[in-house]
Order: sequence, then C-alpha cells, then structure tokens
Amino acid sequence: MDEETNGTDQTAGGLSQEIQDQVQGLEREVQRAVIGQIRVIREVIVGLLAAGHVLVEGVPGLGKTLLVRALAAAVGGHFSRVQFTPDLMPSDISGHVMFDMKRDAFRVRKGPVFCNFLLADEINRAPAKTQSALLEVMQEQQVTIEGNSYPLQLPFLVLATQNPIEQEGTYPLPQAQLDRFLLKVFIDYPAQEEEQALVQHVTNGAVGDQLDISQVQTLLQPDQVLNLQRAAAGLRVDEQIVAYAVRIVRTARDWSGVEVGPGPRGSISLLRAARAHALLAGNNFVTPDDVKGVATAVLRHRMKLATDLEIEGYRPDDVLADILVNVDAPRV
Amino acid sequence: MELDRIAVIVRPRTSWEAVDLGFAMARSWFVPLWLLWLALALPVYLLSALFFADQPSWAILIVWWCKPVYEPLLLFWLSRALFADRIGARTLIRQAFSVIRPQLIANLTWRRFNPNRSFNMPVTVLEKLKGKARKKRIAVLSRGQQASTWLTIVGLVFELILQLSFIFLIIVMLPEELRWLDLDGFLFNPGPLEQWLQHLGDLLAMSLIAPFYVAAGFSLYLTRRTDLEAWDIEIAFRRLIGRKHGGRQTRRVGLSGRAIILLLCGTLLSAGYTSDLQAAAMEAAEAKTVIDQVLADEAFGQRKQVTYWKYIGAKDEAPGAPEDLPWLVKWILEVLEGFTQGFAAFGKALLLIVAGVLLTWLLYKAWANREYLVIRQPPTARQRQRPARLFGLPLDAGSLPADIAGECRSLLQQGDVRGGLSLLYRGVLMALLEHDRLEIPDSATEGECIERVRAVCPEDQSAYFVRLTGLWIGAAYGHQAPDERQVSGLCGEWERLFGRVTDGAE
Repeated sequence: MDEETNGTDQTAGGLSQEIQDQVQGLEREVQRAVIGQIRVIREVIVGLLAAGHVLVEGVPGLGKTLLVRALAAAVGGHFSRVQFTPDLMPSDISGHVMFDMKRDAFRVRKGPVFCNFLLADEINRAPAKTQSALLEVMQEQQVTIEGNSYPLQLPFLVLATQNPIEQEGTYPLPQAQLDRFLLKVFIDYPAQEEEQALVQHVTNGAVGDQLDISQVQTLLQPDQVLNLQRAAAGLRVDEQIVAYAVRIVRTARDWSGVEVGPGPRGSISLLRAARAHALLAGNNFVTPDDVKGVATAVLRHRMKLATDLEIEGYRPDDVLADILVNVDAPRV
Repeated sequence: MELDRIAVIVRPRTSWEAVDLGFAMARSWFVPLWLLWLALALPVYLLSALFFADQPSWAILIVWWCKPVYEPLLLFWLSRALFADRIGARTLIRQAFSVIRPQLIANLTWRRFNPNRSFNMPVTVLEKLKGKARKKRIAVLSRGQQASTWLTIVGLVFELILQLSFIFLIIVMLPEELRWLDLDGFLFNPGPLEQWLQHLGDLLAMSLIAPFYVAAGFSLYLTRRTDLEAWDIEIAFRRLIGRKHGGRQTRRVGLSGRAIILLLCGTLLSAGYTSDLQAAAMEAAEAKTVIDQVLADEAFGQRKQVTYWKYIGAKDEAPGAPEDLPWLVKWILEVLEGFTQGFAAFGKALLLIVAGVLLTWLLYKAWANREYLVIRQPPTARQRQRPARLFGLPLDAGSLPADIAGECRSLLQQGDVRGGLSLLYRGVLMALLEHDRLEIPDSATEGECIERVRAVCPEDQSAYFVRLTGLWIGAAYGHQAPDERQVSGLCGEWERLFGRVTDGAE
C-alpha cells in the first residue's frame, strides 16, 4: 500500500527543508522552556503532528502545564486549562447559553474548550458525564450548545493529565474513552543533571512560581501546524510497514495475560503516530523504527492486563516490551 | 570408658529422643565443634578456590564432597567430651591424622552417599573396625532403626534452606539504591560476585548443620549401644557399688550378685569402645552357664502358682485341611499358588523393566536437551544464533559472490543499483555476523541493528554501516532509487573495511 506524497511540501528525495526546519524548530522551542523530558516533548509533538490527543500520567510538579503552554506559545495558539473536580459540569467545559439582561437576549458563552491547546488537568477527578462531554469534543472537534454546533479552531490538541498515586475519589476513564487518546505518555522525574539545569533555569530572576515561557518564540502559526499535520498524513507508508503495525496490534490482542487488547483503532493510531514520528525524524517515509518507537505510547492505554499479571506487578509497558521483542520486524 | 563420668543421662531412648539428645549436645558444645569443622573445611575451600578460580562451582563441590574428611574429628572430640575429657588443640592436631585417615578413600567414594553416614561413623572412627567385622557390627547396630537416614535427609533440606535464606537475606537487606544484585541473578544466572557470595552462604550452612548432624548420629549410636548392652543397668550397678564402698557397709553379697557385677563390669569397664566389644564377645560363650546360675539363685524371680482351665478333650478336625482335599482341588490350589507367585515375580520383573526404561528415557531426554540444562555458559562456548535470512535477504555464504565489491560494481554498470545495494548490505551483515559476534534477533529493526553495530564494531565500520543502512531503508521503505555515485563510493570502501574479513571467511 503505497500512498502518494503531499506534493506541495515534499520533494522526491526527502522532506522539504522548510518542513524539517519547522518540525525541528518546534521541538527546540519547547525545549527552551521545558528542560529535560526530551522523550515526553517528542511524544507530545508526535501527538500534535498526528492530530491526536495525549493523556499524560505523572505526579504533580513535573512540568505538564509548562509543556502545554510552551507548545501553545511556540505554535501561537490559544491555550486553556481546566482543573477537573468532582463538581465540574459539562457546561463548564463546553460553554452554555445565558440571558443577557442588557440586550434582552440569550447569549452563548463559550467554554474553555474553544482553544487550540487544552490542558485537562486531573481528568479522572470529574464524573463520567463531564469526562464524556470532553471526549465527545475531542472526537467530533465541535461543540453543541443548545442545539447549535460550533466548530473548534484547528489545530486542537487536548493534553489530559492523570495522577497515578492518588486514586481516592477519582473516576477512572473507561477503556472506550481511553481509546480516544492517541498516546498515553508517562512523565517521570527528571535525571539529576536535568533537574539541576531546570532548577537553575526556573529560579534565575523569577519572582514567585509563575511559569516562564518568555523564551519561547512563536515559530509557527496554527495554519502551518495544519500543513505539518497534512504532511505527516501524506507520508509514504510501505505495505510491509502497515503489516508490521497490524502484526504488533494483533499480537498484543492475543498475547497471554492480556484480558482486553487494542482494537483496529489501535492499528490506525499506531500508523498515524508512526507517520508523525517519521516526520519528526526528517523522513518522508515511515520505517519500522518509527512504528516501534511509538508503539508503547500508542498501545499502553489500550490494553487491560489479566488480574494475575496485575497482582504480580506487571504493567502494560512490560508486556509490550515482550511483545515487541517477539514480533518480527518487516522483511523486505 | 568410664561410663559413670558420662555427661548425659543414659537410659533407653527412642530414636527421635536420641536425635534430640544429639542436638542438645551440639548446642552445648556448638562453638568448639563449629570451629573444628571450619578449621578443616576452610583450608580445603581456599585450596579449591585457588585451583578452580575460573570455575567456582567446582570449588564448592569439592568442599561439599569432602565432608567425610571434616566430620570424624568432630566425632572424636565429641566422644571424649562426653566423658568429661576435653581434648586440647595440640592433642587434637597430633591425633587428627590418625582419626581422619582410616578408610578415608572408602568414605570419600562409595560410602559418600550412604544416608547412614553419621550413624556408621562411630563404628569406623571409635571402634576402628573394618572389613567384615565393620559390616557385621553395623548390621547389628542398625537393625530396626531408620532415624539416621531421616537425619541425613532433614539435614540436607535444612542445609538448602539455610543456603537460600542467606541469599534472600542479602537481597532483602540490600538498600534499593545499592541493588546491584537480584534474585534472578543469584538463582539462574550468577556472575562471579554472586557465585562467591553463594559459596560463603554454602560454607556457613554446611558449618552450621555439621555439628548437629555428627552429634545426632553419635547419639543414635550411643542409644543403640545402650539398648544392646544395657549401659543404664551397668551405671546403676556402679552407683550401687559406689554407695556400698562409700558407706563402708559390709553386706553379704551372694554369689549370684557378685557374678552379675563381675560379669557386667568386667565386660563394660574396659578402657575403650573396642575392648568392651571384645570382652562382651569373650563372655558370650560362658554366659549361658552363668545366667543359669544367676537365675537359680533365690534372689532372682518369684514362684507363684496359677490355676486355670484348659481344654483337654479331642480336637475338632479342621474343615478343608489340604491333606483331605481331593487331588483335583489340591492341584488347582497348587496351580493358583504357582500363578500368584509367578504373578508376583512377573510384577517384580515388570516393575524393574519399567523403571529401567524410564531411567533410560530420562537419561536420553537429559542428553538430548543438555544445552537447556546448562544455565551458564562462558561467552566463548555459547553458540551464536545466526539467522538464515535477515530483512528478507538470504545470509548464507553460498548466496554471496566471492568478490562482493566487484560484483556490486558490475551490477551498477548494468544499471541494477538496488541489486548492488542489496548485495553490499548482505555482505556487511554477513561479515559482521561472522566476525564481530553480532547477534541480531528477528525483531530487530534497522535502527536497532545500527545500535548493535555501533556497540560492537569499530567506528569506521559502524559509520559505513549507518550510511549503507540509510540508503537501504530509503530504497526499501521509501521506494527511492539509491544514488549510483553513493553506492559506488560504498563499493570502494567495502574492500578496505570488509574485504579481508570475507576473504578470511572463505
């Protein structure tokens, strides 16, 4: 299955210099504000280029908000943040209609979801109704208020966070809703050198604990991001690569100890993310390394392990590591 | 042997009580016994470690095998300590050789796996019997007692538990930050550090168990002799004598009483274990006469008259007695008896055959799967898995021409750039698999191959491989025609980097 390349952005031999500069520049700009966490930054940009949403799991204070704000600043998009709480209503996210006394008419008050980059902080603290409202917006990319549909401005990226340690009073996302996220990214504590550089960078001349994204320059406009997304979607994918992605997903589905495996949406997401990964790597075609590089982030939240494995302390990442070792790479 | 100086209460005991007594003895004299064991085992271990520094498993196996070398001295010390005769270090060193040496070869070879080792040891070490006399003596002593076998089994199990506990203790007590050892490494793939730590644990476990094992075996032996030779009665008589002499009371002792005392004391008051035995053997011939004399004395036994009814009429004839059966029934019974005996013999033979077949099958399976039984293999001995195909390209030497660079150039001249590139890529993989010990699993992608090559190969070779792989994946997945000049350049470099390697391979 060979797909035609996007003729406007790509040359016959590889990606155009402009696209390469934009992609690499975007990564570089975000790294100006977020010290370390290179893998996380890369995976979030993969999510952006693949026009997918990202679920980030990590303890508080690791720079999730800073990451999204830096990304928004580098792209020149509008950023919103919603702190999910048990009493949050769907209309608090999507918006609502209110009566304007001055004008004697109803007026639509758009919610924080009308933005380019939405940080849904601690998404599992809101009840299922509110969660599903957001996930519907993520899927449809439009909001319906009082029967009227309002399209969202593209690009639209939701970066939802979860705290893995405090599970009391939370509403864990159901498997079907987790499937809507393109990637699940683990954000971990930075290494010693990274943390040292981060502390020095953040505290240098800073008053209070405001997030400093002043160093991030606006490199791209939302339209250019859309072009990059189109470029990623148009990358060449050999038939062997598709077969490899499907093989990984099917193996994960049938793997011993996996109660519920990823569905066909998992295969689709894997290929979408692999295209974005290839674009980020500066290739105009997808290689097995691109597929393998994103497989864990794409599939880890689409797998439910059997109880005995969970009791033994296995995580989906461990099982996926085994699967990737056991699935043969493409043979041309 | 002065039985009245014995440090334990001599009385008939069950085997388990005897084992318990042995453990109590080992506890009370633990430190000297433990030090004694270590004093003999440690030099053996150090020597083995010196000779088998590269193969630590052999070192500990030798220490384990030589257990019968260390144990006799423990037994010797224990036998003297039991009669309040604590031997000093110098005396012990002087006598060590004479205690250990007798029958050492036998103890280290065909008697090494005898489960009654601790029980039989006093016969060899203390009674100094050998050959048929030893065999006869052991047959008498070990009649009806299995506790010594169980003692060996339980000792073995506890030794294993202690060894594992030592490993677990190390793992558990290591802080997370210093977790440079793990359980998998210890149990299944131990490195040199794990092996030496294991040896430490093994030595400790063996040294802790040995005093208990030897003392319990000795106690079983003493109990059995007490049972056979009535040591408890002898001691009671000795106390009686002592009391009489102490009080200066003269009482007429009958002939029979004197005879008993003379008999038992004469038998048992000898200086050693062996002389006791000889004395007992000499008296045995005259024993019956003496016993009859003793029993004839009034002091022994009471006579009483008992009255009871006894049927003295004619006996009923037993129905169906064999002699009264018809000849046919007798014949059938005989045949049946023959059959049952035959069946028993047949069953026995069948059982032996099945056991033999099973053993042969197990040996065959073990031999067939011998590579799985070896957990650790030195890197030099490990057979590298060399795939027949990699990335869809055949890698057998037959599919490659002798002059890869020349063939590549001719393909380029014919305009088959992709063919030339494929040939070069195969050639490089072949050379790396053959000569750089590269192992590439089926799941490895091109990027992972590059990482492995970078880790193993020199810089110029890995840089070459990176460039070649870049061109190759562009052609394979990007469907991009490779640049002829670049491929030609790679051809030129091939001979310099890998030419000699492939020549050598052929």
